Amino acid sequence: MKQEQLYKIALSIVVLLVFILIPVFIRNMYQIGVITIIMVNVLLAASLWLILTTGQVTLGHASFATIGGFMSAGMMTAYGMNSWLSLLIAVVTAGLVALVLGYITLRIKGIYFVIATLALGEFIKIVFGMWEHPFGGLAGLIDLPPPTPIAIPGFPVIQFTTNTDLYYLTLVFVVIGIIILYRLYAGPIGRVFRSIRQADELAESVGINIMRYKILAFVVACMLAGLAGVLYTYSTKYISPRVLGLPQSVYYLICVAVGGEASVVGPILGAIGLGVFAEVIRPVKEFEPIIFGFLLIAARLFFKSGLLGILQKIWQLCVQLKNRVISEHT
Amino acid sequence: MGLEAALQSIIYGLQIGVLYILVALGLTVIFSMMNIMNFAHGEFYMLGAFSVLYITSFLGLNYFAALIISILIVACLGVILEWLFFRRAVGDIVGTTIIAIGLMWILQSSAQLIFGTEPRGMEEVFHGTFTFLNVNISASRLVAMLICIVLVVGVYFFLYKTRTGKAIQAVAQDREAAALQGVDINRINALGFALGCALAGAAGGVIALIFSIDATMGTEALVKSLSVIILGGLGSFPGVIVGGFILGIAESCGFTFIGYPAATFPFVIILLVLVIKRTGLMGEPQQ
Amino acid sequence: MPLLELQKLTKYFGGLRAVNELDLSIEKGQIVGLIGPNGAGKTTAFNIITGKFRPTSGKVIFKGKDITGLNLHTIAGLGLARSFQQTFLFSEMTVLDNILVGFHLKSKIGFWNALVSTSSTRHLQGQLVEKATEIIQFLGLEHVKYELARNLPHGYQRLLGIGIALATEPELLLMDEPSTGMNPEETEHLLGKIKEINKKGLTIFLVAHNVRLIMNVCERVIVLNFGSKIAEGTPEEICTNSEVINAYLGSGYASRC
Repeated sequence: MKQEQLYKIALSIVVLLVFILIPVFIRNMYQIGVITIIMVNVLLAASLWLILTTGQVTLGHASFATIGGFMSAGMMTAYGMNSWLSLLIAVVTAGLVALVLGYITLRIKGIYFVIATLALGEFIKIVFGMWEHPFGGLAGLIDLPPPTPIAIPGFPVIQFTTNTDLYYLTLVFVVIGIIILYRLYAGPIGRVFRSIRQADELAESVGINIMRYKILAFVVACMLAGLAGVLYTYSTKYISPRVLGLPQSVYYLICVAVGGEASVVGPILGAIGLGVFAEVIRPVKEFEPIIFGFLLIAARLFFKSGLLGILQKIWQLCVQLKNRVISEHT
Repeated sequence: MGLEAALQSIIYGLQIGVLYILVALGLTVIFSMMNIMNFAHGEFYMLGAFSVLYITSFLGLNYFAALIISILIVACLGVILEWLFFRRAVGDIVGTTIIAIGLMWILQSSAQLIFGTEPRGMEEVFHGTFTFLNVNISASRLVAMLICIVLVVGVYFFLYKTRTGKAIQAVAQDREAAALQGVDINRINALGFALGCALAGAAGGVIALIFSIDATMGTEALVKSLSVIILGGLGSFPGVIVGGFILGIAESCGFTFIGYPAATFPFVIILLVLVIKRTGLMGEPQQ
Repeated sequence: MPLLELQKLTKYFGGLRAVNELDLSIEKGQIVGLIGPNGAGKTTAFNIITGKFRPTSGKVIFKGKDITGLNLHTIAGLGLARSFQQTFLFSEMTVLDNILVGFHLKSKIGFWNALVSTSSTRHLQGQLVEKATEIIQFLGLEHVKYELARNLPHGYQRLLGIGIALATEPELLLMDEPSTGMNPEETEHLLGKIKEINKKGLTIFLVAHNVRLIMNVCERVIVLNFGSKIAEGTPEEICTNSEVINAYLGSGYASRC
């Protein structure tokens, strides 16, 4: 087992280095922006995945990103608030909404949760369209200010004006988010989540308070989604009630379905893979949603373990091949 | 404001309520029969609306012919999709949910591609306004309401008085027992699914008489249908009728007296039901 | 003080009366059996005791404390465990992990110590793995320790279900038809295990259809029919009770007692 751990850590470091070095090799600001959004989607898909590990399906994940984005943008534009305080408020608001919704809907059969999250999306869209004052009404908010510069005495002031600055800011937060998700799932709490998904009555009969754990997964995931929403608005400098809605919520589900559910790596692969794929099919981008819809269905019907499963199989084949080659030479 | 406005709202509420009943009934039929929550339901509603629009505009047929043809088109589409996708995953609740979501997305996106995102209206078919006890109701709305009532009553007769309808109910209550009694489950599943989609398509075709339509109208219809069936009780047919009227009237009065925020009612109703009595008004008593 | 007491326990599902004024008490250290025809209310009674259903009226008293209406996980935390009639298992986990889930209440899981693993959490985890291994060895599942639960043969799956319940280190174990689907050899093995865990101090309340199991293991038997208790006594007394024979055992069974 230990060798596998080392491989995983090495691979993660390599991937991290790649992402850190991307802005050194890619100078096109548009492309940097695209990759930044892909990273935001990675965080959204990965946080959605955490909810799925407890056996719940949500159709409203994008609405928590909307909540985060609007709270941050609203506080900054309407009250001139510091962006870091706005960020905190945004994440806490998303968490509170998740707490209330989770408390009401996670007590009962899963289908109610799906329906409630679907309805939440419509509700959030309407609520944030209601007020001109902090949230800009139906048109939303544009020309959002950049994150407030950080001034640490003794160091040069960190500005966030260029796409590259926002790229690294996003990278830092996304990496933190993924580490939180990974540590949560890899530890004993992950086993509790899996037990709830696989046999919830049995889990309860050994003393597991399943509602508490479902709510934990939901609130953590939605807070990270709120964070992702804030990061999104930093890059796009724009938010409106329609921007992150049901189509986006479904998109994150597709990232998880295509990428695989076995670990947090699945949604990461899915989000990056689909993000790159979307850029590749840009010439026919009108067909993108249709293709993705089919990918979702195909993934569910034919490739249940996703890209992660496929990669794992390839890895196993390589190991087998290696072993066979070794045994043939001894 | 006051009494007249309230009365007007209630009449509008009743009229839109029958429409909500129609579309929610379709969703309930599919859910109680196959245990599938058809998240693509709203898209069949949207397709029904666009079908009626195009048939009347480009083929020049009269409205009723267009409506009937549209219902048939939507029903056939439903049968094909059930056979292609849902049949493979029957019993797998997460699987059918995901497939329904995927279909919803494919249908909505294709519609956006083909029809564009701009809302369109159908040319007025029925002219004039009737006034009754100081309440105005346009001919279009009156016809819409009548069509919905006819269809709902028709469904009732179909389900309770015909052999096929009773077979559908039997499968909804206990699949295995029905199969043992010689019911062809595959055929009934296809029929039930077709019926559900047909009702959605009919509702869409009817709404085109009153409001403008656009490719994303399905989501709103889906959320309202879900609100109706949760309020009435999942799987309960009488519950759909009660829930539909309540949502229709509450929404209508809400828009008159408090305006735009009334659009949050479907969601608020869902949460209230889940907090107070999750099995809904006509569902079984809570354990 | 009896370990478990049911006082006039009654449960209606709509108009259907599933359990009717059931009174019973179980003393610490006993093995008590609950038998009756299908639909007599045995599993319903278990579901009420463990907290899955609220009774329409009546009380459940465990260790002198009224636990009526408490929820499933709270009752499990008080020392009352259960194995199920259906084979519920964590199907995608190994046998070892299945048992480790059972040790949940002993594992002091918290949000923060899940994020950062310290040496004390690792030490505790190690202890739990040892305890889990003991249970696995006791049940004779050592050789399939790392096998996925869904790949196990049926008899092992039933044993694993019991193992998960044992991991909660309960004082009272409710077993609902533990020998379902087991062949005579496996049933014999199970019988022995039940007696062993009872000797270690665990009180057992078991529902069974298998007459042999009941006769060999239980010191007392309670008979239910249509939700009411129709007889109570030693296995021998039950066998010769004419009401029981009429309702349930049938003369064919009675001759096997």
